[in-house]
Formats: sequence, structure tokens, C-alpha cells
Amino acid sequence: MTTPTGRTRRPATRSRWAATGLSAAVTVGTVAAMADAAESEAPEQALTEAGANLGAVARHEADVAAATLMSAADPGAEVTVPSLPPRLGRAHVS
Amino acid sequence: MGAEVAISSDASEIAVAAALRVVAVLEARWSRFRDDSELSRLNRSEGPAIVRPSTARIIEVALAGRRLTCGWFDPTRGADLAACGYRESHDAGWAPSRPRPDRLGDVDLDPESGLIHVPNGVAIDLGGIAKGWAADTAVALLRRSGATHAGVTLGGDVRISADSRALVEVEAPDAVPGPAALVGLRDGGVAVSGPTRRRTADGRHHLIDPRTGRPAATARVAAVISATAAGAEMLATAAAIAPRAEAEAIVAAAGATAWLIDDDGTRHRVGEPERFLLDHGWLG
Repeated sequence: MTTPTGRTRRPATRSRWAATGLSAAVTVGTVAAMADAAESEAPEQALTEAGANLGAVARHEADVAAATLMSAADPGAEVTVPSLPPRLGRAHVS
Repeated sequence: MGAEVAISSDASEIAVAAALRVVAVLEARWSRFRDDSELSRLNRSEGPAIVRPSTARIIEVALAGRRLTCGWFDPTRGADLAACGYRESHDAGWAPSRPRPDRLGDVDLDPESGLIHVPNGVAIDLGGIAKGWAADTAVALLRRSGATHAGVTLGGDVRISADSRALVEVEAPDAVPGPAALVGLRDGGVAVSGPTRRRTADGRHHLIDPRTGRPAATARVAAVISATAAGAEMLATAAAIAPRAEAEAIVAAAGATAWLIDDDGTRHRVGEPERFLLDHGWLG
């Protein structure tokens, strides 16, 4: 297939590849930006996520915050064998 | 900290890389074993200092955790750990040293400004909360990125958050041999503390009795499940050395779940372990 100027039209697969390449470039940039942010002061909000998750708890209400951190976990609904859930962690004495 | 990290999630590679990066940043910031960490600089300071908001926050919560555990979890015992020879990450081994003098002054922190004063002779050790906090933070990041499930294991502490119930394997400690236990939870943290690792050459362990500043004379294995890994870690540390009745009361007051295994192998359950336990293993 040719274009009006006579050049061979690039196949659609090539276009998709180019788009993928652009996406990859953005991805690399995002990784670098996130890494930089992690090193700087900027991610303080993320680094205090354990506290930020407490919502309206005021910063000075540390007792409430600590109590919340230590409160009950959510076991979730029981699963039906054999649909085993994924194994996401391995705890040991620390 | 100085601990291995494992992430299990369906998050993008970018998000996983970012989560690992956050863990590394927190490790660099809060490790007592790195001379250049913010925590080490703080402990060396000879007067008031300003710390980052995240550092002020974790110290603030750790001090609150001390109050809620009746002092059995105490982040101000870093000097005791160092005096007892625990100056390196446990993988590097440690040797006993001199005993610490009597209890000194307390930490004074203004959480709003980050202004903090650590009295001479006192050192903050975040070893009983930092791994869990970092795991909590990493999991929150992964979930915010759109992951349907995220699990972070950091130095034996685990934080899970998932759309549905997921599994956590709990290894048997040296002192309580047996098959691994399996617990299921949708959102929460798991931590196990006990006198089975980080022993000195003369057999002492790293669990400091806050009343004496020395390794606790009696210590048990405590496996705790609570809302977060940081919370589970604080509770496990306290429950491992507090008198058993007090340990049970502390865990119960928090609303958490725990298995306490005494020296003689006697098991005690706090909370509702059956809600989580899928395979008893060594916890049976």
C-alpha cells in the first residue's frame, strides 16, 4: 500500500509498535520521577501513609492513631475450597 | 531495619518499583544500624533537633504505642540494646557489652514542627515498629495504584490488603518447631516476636525488659494479627515480654488477635484466632 506521495505506507502493526514505544518512554519517565520523589521531601504524604490512612485523626492524637494501628484486622469472607486465595506473605520471628 | 523485603501484588512494575523505593528510603531514614540515617543522627545530637515529618510521625506513634502497651513496647530503649551488644542487624551477629545505667530522661517531641529532644544517654530504636510501618506504607502505595491485592513481607512482618481474603504463611520459630501455620485475612498485619533470633554469644536475646534495660529474664513467642503491620509489631514486642496476664490484656484491649506460647510450650489465644486460622500448624 502506498501514500498519496508515493511512499510505502507503514503497516498498522508498526504504528501500534510506535505507540507502545511512546508508552514505554512515559513509563520510564514516571519511574524516574517517582524515584526522585521518594528521595525528596515531596513524598512525605506517602511516607506517613500509615498515619494518613487514619483520615480525620488529628496529628497530635497519637494515642488514637496508635490504637487504630493496633486494632483488629479484617479477616475477609471465608473462601470456598478449592478456590484458594493467593499467598501474599510469609511471616517469621523478627 | 536491615531486612529482606518481598512484594506480592498484581500492581504494575512501576508501582512495585516505587514501593520498593519507598521501603529503601525509610530504611535509610530509620535504621539504627546506619551511621548516616536520620535516626542515628538524631540519637547523636546533643540538643534539640528537627526531623522530617515522617520521622516525627513514627516517633509520635511509637511513643503512643508505649503508653498503650503500658511501657512494654518502648522505642526509647535503643541505648539499652546497644549497651547489651546489639549494634548491628541480626544477620551480622552481636556480642554482649556493658550494662546500661539507670533510666534517664524522656524524649520530648513537638509533632507539628518536628522539633525533638533526645536526652543524653537515651537512644530511639524504631526496630519494633519501622518494618511494619514501611510495609504498611508500601502496601498503601500499591493499592492506591489500582492493585487488587498487595502483600509486603519485610523482615518477617507482613502487611496484606486485598479485595478478598488472602493467605499468609507463618513460619514456626526455632523454639516452637512445627509446620508453618496458614492464616487468611483481607486487610491487616502479622508480626511474630520471640527470643529465638538475634542471640548473643552467651545466649541472651534482643528483647529488652524496659524495667531493667537488660534482656528480659523470661520471654515468650508472640504471634499477633492486627489492623496494620506496625500495630502488630508493637503488640508482638510487648506481648513477648510482659507478664502473660498483662500481655493478654494489652492485646485484648487493642482488639487484636494473638497466640502466646510460653517457654514450656503452653499456648494461649487472645481474640478470635479462629476467624483467621486456616491451618493450625505450629500455632495449634
